[in-house]
Amino acid sequence: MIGSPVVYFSIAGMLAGVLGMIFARNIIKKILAFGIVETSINLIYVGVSSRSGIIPPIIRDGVSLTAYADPIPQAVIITGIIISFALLCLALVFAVIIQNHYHTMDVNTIETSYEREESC
Amino acid sequence: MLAITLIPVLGGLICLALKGRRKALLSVVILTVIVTGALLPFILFQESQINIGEWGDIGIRLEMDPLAVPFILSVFIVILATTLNSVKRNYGHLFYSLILILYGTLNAIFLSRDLFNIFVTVELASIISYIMISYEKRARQAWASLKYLMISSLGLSIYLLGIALVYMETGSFALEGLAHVSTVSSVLIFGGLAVKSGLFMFSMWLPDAHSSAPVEVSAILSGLIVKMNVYFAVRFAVFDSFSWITEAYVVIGVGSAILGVIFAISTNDAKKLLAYHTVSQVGFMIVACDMTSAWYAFSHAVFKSLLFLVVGNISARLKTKNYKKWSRKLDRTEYLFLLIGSLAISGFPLTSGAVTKEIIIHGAGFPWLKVLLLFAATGTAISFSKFVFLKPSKHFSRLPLSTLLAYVVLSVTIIIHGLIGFEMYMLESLLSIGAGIVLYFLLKKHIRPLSPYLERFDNALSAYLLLFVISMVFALFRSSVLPY
Repeated sequence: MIGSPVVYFSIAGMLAGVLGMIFARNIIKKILAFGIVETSINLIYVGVSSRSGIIPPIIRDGVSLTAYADPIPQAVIITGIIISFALLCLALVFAVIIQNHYHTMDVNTIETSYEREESC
Repeated sequence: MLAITLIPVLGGLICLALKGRRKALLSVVILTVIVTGALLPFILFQESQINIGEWGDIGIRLEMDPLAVPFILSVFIVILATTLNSVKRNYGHLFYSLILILYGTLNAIFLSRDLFNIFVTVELASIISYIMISYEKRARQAWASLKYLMISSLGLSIYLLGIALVYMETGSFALEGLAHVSTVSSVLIFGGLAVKSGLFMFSMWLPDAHSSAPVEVSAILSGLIVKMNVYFAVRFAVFDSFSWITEAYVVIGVGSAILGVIFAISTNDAKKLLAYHTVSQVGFMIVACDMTSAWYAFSHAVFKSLLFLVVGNISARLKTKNYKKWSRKLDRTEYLFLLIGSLAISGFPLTSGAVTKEIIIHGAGFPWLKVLLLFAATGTAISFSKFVFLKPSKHFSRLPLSTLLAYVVLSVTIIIHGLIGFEMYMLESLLSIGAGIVLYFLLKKHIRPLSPYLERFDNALSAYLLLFVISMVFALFRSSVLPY
């Protein structure tokens, strides 16, 4: 199918991150696994944008036109990195608010307390 | 056309500077919303197109066409009513600036026409909604918002993976490139947008997030943010690589409509009932993937925000969300608007709910589809009979002017839309409403809350991933990549 091994590595990274998000019991570990997913997405865009060359897209003499990296997906990655940074900060703020109220970081304890508060 | 995106953002930035002065803050907010609304008649009825920076195929494209008209109108009406309702509560300057920036972003979502711009504006609207859900910094809201954040961002990462594949195959992010891509990337794009849609197994974060949020934020979330997926589904359904999506959405939509109503009938909490109804109504909308879904999205946004604002104000005044404790304590004015909203959502003739719902039921292709949608409509009538048959107290109280204005704006829109689109076959909806009322009185003693098992974090995430894999297998079968 797709030739470049970078794509397969990034899909493997996403799978690892998703499994971490489901099976981790601590909220901070879930947030770290979420960071792994976002980093794998950035990896696939790096792979897409460096077609075969590693030369930055600034015109220089004596280099053929196809050896430059592609600048368009790099714009996608930069926006993606900023968005995932903002989401990570927000998730950590929510974790602090939850810790102050429930005094635990364990997901099962939080969910049982949440459902008990709701039913009364 | 860029003005309806940029003027609210400018107003939001001005609000950040007005820290202590309430009167200046409120007048800036309402002025900005009205100015942007006044520009709408000049923009909505012309098809125009802007290519920012003149970069051709690889640039940012904004375009106006008839599909976006009901969505942009609904954004204006819901945000006007929400800001009028919030006058009487003590929100700070940050809340109003976030609402105005969200208004500009929502306009940008419905105007954007290239894949990457869709990602940026959808993520921006999502981040603002995560902050606004937990605005009052309570732990319940923080947990609901954290669940929403993680599941929704995972979905949008899957969307980014899909558009990476589109870029590898066509070389640009333009929407026309979707016509020749493989089915795998179309499934990834569909799965990424479906997480924000509110369909049953795809977004089980929705009941907690919409019911714990503050009053105005619930109205905006249920009215506007879940409609993004409806808009993109209708827009993408014309491409060849997405041809499996109309059949998938029939099954998913009918499932959401019926299961959402079953959960709504069995709950005791008024705001959770409305949140489960959002699940059911989005299922209803997405069954027909064309322009009728767009007008149903408009009328759903209007009557759902009326219901959320009335129920939110009542539960803030009476300090309880359990609707069984409300009987004999409702004022007659509040009961009147609650009645208008409940009739609209059940599909009573002469309201906008009837116009849009009956068009979808009437236009359903298969006979079994019509029967299942009628079951869902009857279930809606059963659960809203819980509100209609509460006894109001004896006096008419005077609501504050701004809240009354908000309710009146929404109710007038419901009734005018209902009168404009009225046709004789819409009187069939009286049958399903009558059946719903009879079944309500029969089932009243047996109603018991169901277990919130699927709304826990791990289970919601696993449900989303399971359904994503199932839709990938279905799509690959339908486009004959795998042998039968």
